[in-house]
Amino acid sequence: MKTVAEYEKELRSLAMPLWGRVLHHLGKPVAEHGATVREFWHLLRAVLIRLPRRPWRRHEIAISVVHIGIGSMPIITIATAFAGLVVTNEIAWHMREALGTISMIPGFTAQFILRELGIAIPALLLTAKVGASITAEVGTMKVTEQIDALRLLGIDPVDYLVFPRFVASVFATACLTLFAVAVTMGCAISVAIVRYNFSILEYLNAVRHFIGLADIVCALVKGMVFGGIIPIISCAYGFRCKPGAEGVGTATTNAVVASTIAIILLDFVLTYLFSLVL
Amino acid sequence: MTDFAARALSTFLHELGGIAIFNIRIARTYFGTAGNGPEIFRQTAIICTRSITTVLFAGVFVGAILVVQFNLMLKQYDAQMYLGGLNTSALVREVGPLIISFLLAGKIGAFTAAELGTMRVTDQIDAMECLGANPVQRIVLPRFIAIILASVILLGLGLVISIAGSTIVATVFCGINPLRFAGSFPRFVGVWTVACGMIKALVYGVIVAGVSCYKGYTASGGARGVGRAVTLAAVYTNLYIVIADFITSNILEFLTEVWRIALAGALAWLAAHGWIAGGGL
Repeated sequence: MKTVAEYEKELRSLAMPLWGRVLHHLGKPVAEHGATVREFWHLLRAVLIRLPRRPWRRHEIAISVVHIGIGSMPIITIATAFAGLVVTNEIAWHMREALGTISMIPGFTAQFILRELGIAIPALLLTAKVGASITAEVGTMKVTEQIDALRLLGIDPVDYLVFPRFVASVFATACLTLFAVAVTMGCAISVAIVRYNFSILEYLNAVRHFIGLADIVCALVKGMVFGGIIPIISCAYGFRCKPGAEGVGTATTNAVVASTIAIILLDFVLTYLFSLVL
Repeated sequence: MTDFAARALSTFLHELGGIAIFNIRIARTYFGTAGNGPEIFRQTAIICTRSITTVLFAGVFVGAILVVQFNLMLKQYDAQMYLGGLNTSALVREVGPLIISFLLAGKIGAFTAAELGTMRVTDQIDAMECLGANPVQRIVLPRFIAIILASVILLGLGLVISIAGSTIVATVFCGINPLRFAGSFPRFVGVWTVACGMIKALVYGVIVAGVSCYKGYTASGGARGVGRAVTLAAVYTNLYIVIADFITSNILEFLTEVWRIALAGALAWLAAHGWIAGGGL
């Protein structure tokens, strides 16, 4: 049964002109997404304000670093190794088509891995591995009213749950990015040596001409930004998790999708900004 | 360390075996029953409409990222005239399917795992079995086929929009004439390139469908169990997609050579018999 208020609302929407209804349907999702982004921003601001203050909760941070960093290492190793095996083949194919030579493989591969591939693939894997598990954990706490219990005890959930995960994720992702770049480069080099008859010294010498310290710093910055947004978005979705098993499932899905979109979006922004500098 | 590696390997193989057995069961159900068409169509429509805005939004930015990177690299070699073709080829063959299917793993895969997992932990699947209905046929099979169909459709649309996005970004941010950008397409992109992208889309769709249905169907342990099922579905899908990317790339590279030889042979045969003018290509 609809209430009177709902009937009135429906009548009002029918009385709107066509362009009004179109604007309404276009504007509603924009407004909703805007509210969600504002929520992320509030959470990020709360964490950043908390950052310079003590206590630093070293113990929780260390546990989170182990959970996020060491726990994700096997999967990131396997995934980036396969990505490294693919990238040399693809670049060789394209180089042969475009320039008629494969002598540019080292520089091109190294730049592509260090600027894009070695950072984006681990970050997207971490959204699934770390982001989803954080949302599931925080969401389960919310559903079982543990977060309300924390508030009742006078403990700030942002301070207790979000802050250690944020610091740990930024640190762990920075390390994992460098690790992933190294693994990807190693696999790319081995393919170039075995299949395209490069010698390792020749390869590394060519790489040195094309990448510098600035590339590595940019890669680290990108990795840290991605590492920072994953726990913020995941915790935000965990905090507004609806009750029941269905609520936790929906929140986890939404968190993974939102983090993936945010990473792709920020990747473009950062890539463009760095392309002006490099 | 060896203990850790052994444990990881055994978990991995256990997962792989479980997924294989589950998929054989789905295939047997598909070929053993009839009348699943309307439900499959309904699920495909639901999945497509639910995910299309996300895929289109992400597609634009995937194209944009790639074109900025390629522009930066090609500038060093003064080869910017190849930017359009190289970017589109890399996008359609490799990067587009990979990144967009990562997104689909989160969007479709995790959602399906959550849906089926919720049904499992709230005992709805057991209730169906008690009533004599086959849950694999009623709820898993339509989703499985629908995910494969939907991911091919969505990836096709995503690739088209990513090419549009990369053209816009090349024009606005990199200052390249859009006609010159599009002019280098034919040299790198042909029917076979698009076919490669679509074959990859199909393979990734099968992976998303298989892993997420399995993880959701075998979930256990309340709200926490559903959360774990969703996480594992997303993680394993992404991992298998990267591995499948390597395998399909190598197979398709081999098939590309076969395609080239076959095309050249067919044209030579036609020319020899006077169907087309000789000396083509």
